[in-house]
Amino acid sequence: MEGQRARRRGLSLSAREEIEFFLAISPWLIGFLLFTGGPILASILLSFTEWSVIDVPRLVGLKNYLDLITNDQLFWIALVNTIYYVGVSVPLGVILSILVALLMNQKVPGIAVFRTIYYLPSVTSGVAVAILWIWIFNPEVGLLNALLKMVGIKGPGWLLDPAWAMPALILMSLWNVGGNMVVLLAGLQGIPEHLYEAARIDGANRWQEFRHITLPMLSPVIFFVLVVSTIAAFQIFTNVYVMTRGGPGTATLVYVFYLYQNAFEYLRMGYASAMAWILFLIILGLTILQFWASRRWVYYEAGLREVRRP
Amino acid sequence: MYYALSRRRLIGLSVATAGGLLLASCAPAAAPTPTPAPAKPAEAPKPAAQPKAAPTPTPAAQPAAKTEGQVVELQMAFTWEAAFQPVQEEFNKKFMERHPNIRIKSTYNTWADHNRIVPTWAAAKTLPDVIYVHGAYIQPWIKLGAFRSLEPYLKQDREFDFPNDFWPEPLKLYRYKGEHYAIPYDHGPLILGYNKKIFDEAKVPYPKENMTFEELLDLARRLTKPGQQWGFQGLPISPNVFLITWTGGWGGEVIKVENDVEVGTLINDPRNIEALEWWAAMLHKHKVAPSPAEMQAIQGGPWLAGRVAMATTASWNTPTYNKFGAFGKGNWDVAPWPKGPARQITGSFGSGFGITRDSKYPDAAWTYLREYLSKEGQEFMWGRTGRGSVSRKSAYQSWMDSPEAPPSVKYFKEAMEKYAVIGRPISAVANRVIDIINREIDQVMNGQKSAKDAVAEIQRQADPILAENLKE
Repeated sequence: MEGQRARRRGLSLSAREEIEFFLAISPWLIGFLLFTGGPILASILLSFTEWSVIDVPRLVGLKNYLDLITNDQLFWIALVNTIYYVGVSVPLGVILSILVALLMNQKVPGIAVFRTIYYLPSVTSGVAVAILWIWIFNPEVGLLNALLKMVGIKGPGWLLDPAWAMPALILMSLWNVGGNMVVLLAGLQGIPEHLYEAARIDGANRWQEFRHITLPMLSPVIFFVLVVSTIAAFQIFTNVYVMTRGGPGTATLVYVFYLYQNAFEYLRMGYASAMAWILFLIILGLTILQFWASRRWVYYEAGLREVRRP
Repeated sequence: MYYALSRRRLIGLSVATAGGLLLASCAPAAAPTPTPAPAKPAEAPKPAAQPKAAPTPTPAAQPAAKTEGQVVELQMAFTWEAAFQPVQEEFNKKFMERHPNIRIKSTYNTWADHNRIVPTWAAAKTLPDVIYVHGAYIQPWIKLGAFRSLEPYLKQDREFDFPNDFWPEPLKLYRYKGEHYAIPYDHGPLILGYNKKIFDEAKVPYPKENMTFEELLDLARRLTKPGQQWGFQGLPISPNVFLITWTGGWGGEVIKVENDVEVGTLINDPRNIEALEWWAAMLHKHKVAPSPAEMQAIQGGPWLAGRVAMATTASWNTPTYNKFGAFGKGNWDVAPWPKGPARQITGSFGSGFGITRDSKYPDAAWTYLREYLSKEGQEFMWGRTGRGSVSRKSAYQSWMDSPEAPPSVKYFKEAMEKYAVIGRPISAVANRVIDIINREIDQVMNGQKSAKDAVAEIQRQADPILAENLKE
C-alpha cells in the first residue's frame, strides 16, 4: 500500500527512504564538509606551501616535510617528548582505569556516589584543572610536596625542574581516569553472571575468575580505551599550554604545542600543516598496529560464535 | 515519472552544496564584525582624571580627506579595555564633529585576541582602516604587507612634526627598509621601582641616582628576610625582548643589526656570560631574589604583594601598581636603572597605530591618525589619563603630571633621553628567536645550565633563523 502510494508520486519506497536518510544526516554532513572536510583538504594543500596567513601561499613542494625531518631539532625533541608521554601515561592510565572500574563495580551501599566522584574530574574545564594542578605542584606551598614532607620526603621542583616536569604531566593525566572508568564499568556490567557461576562451580578462585573471565570479556572495551587514549595522549596540548609552555627548557615541548607555536605564534601555516599530517600518519600507523596486535589478545564473543557456525 | 536518487548522486549534491557554502564563507565580508566590549583585564587601569572635552587640533596644513563630499566610514581596531573605551568614544565623537564627512566605527579586541584576529582579517582582506599594533608584531605584519607606508603623508604634513617631536628610539620599531609604517603612541623603558615602606621600615636610604649593580646587590642584601621578604624581583626569566636590560650594562649586545635588519646574534660574548652569571648569583648565591617557585606561590607575585623591596618596572605598569600593589598608591617610586661595569642601558618597548593595506580611504584615515597622535590627541588619550607614557616629547609632560605617575617619574624621561634602546629581536622571525632565548636563559636562571653553554646554544639555534632576514 505504502509502496503503491510512493510509486504514484514517482518515487520508490527505497528512494524515499534514502532521501529521508540523507536529509536527516545532512546537517552533520554539511557541517562536516564545511568545518572539518574543508580544513582537512586545505591543510593537505597548505602543507606544500609557505603561508603566513597574511600573504598569499607560495608553493614549496616537499620543503616543509624535508625541513622538519632533516633540519628541525625541536621537531624531534617534541616527537620524543610526546612518545615518552604517550608511552608512560597511556598504559598507566588504562591499568588504573581498570582497577578503579573493578572497584566501582562492587555491590556496596553508596557506590553511585563514589562513581560520581571518580567521574567528576572528567567533566571539569581543562584550563581550570591545569591551573589547579600548578598549585598542587608548587614546590614551596603545593599540596603534593606538603604530603611528601609529612612522610619525610623532600619533594622535587615538579614543573620547574626539567627532570620532573614530564612525570608531573603524566601524573596529572591520571586525574582523568574517570572517563575511561565509565566505559570499562559498562563493559564489566555486560559480562554475563552465569560465566562466573560456572567458574565457581569448577572451583575457580577470584584471580582465576579475573584472569580467565573478566579480562577476556572486557578485552574489546580495553582495546577501545587503549586506542582512544593513545590518540588523545598524542594530542596533549592544554596542560602544556597553560602549565609549562614547553619548559623548563624543552622538557615538556610536546608535538601539538610545537605545532601550535608554528601556526599561531610564528605564522608558519604551511609548516604547521605538514606537522599535522606527519602526526596523522604516526597516529594512523600506530592505530593500525594496535588493530593488528589486537587479534592476539582481544576476545570477541560474537566473532567466535560466527567462526564456529557450521 | 519515476526517479530514484542514488546515494552517490545525493552525496554529490551534498558536496556541491557544502562547497558552495564554503566558497561563500570565504568571500570577503564588507566590514569586520565589531566584537563586544571585552571583559576588564586584571591590570586594567581606570582612567583617572578624564578630560571633559576632546582636543581641537589646529586645522592648518591638514591634508583634506579625498572623499569629495561623500560621507565615508572608517573602521578602527583598538585593544582598550571597557574602562578606557569611553575616552576613545569621546575622542571619536569630537573628531566626527570636526569632520562631518568621516564616520568612525570602532572595534575593541582584547590585546591577546587582537594579535590573532589581525592575521585573519588580513587573510580575508577585511583589515580595518586603522589598527592598533604592538611593537612585537609590527615588523612581521609590515613585511607581510598588512600596512601602508606612511611616508607620503609624513613628508607632506609638516605640522605633524615627524620625526622631530618623537623619541627617536621607538621609531625603529615601525620602520622597514627606511619607511615608517606606523606611528607610536606609547613607549616606555624598564627602570627600577622600589617599595618605600620596606626601605622606611629598614631605615635604609632609597636607591640613589648613578647607582651601580653592585650597589643594587648591597641594598638587596640588606632588605632580604629569608623566606619572607626579598631585596629584588625581576631577574631575566623569560626575558622576552628585554635581555639587553640585564646584560647590556656589561657592554655586550644581543642581536646584530645591519641597516635596520637583524642578521644574527651577538649573544655569545664573555661580557654577556659574566652578566648572566651575576644575575643568576642573585638568586642562587646571594638569595636576594624570590625563586620561580616562590614567585608562583604568591598571588600576583611577591612585588605586588608588598614583599619585595625593588623590582624592574616599566612605565606601562604604573596604573597596575597604583591599583593592585599591596603597598598602596604613593608608597612606591622609581629610580634610574643601575649602571653596569661598562655602561648604563635598558630595554624599552611600546605600541602604535598604522593605516592598513585594505583601507579604502587612506587619506581620511591619515586625517584621523594625525589628530589622534597629535600633541593634543596624545595628551587627551594617554597623557592626562595616565594610560600610557606617550611617544611625543611635547606631550610627555601631560603623562608626567597624571595621577598614575610616581613621584620620580622624571627618571622614565631621563631613560628615554639618555640610555633606553628598543628591545630586540623584533624582525619577522623574532618570535622563534625569543622562544629560543627564553628557553636557554630560563635554564641559566634556574641553575640548570651554565651561561656559557646557554649563549652558545642560542647562537647555534638563532643565527640560521635570523639569517632568513637576509633572503628578502
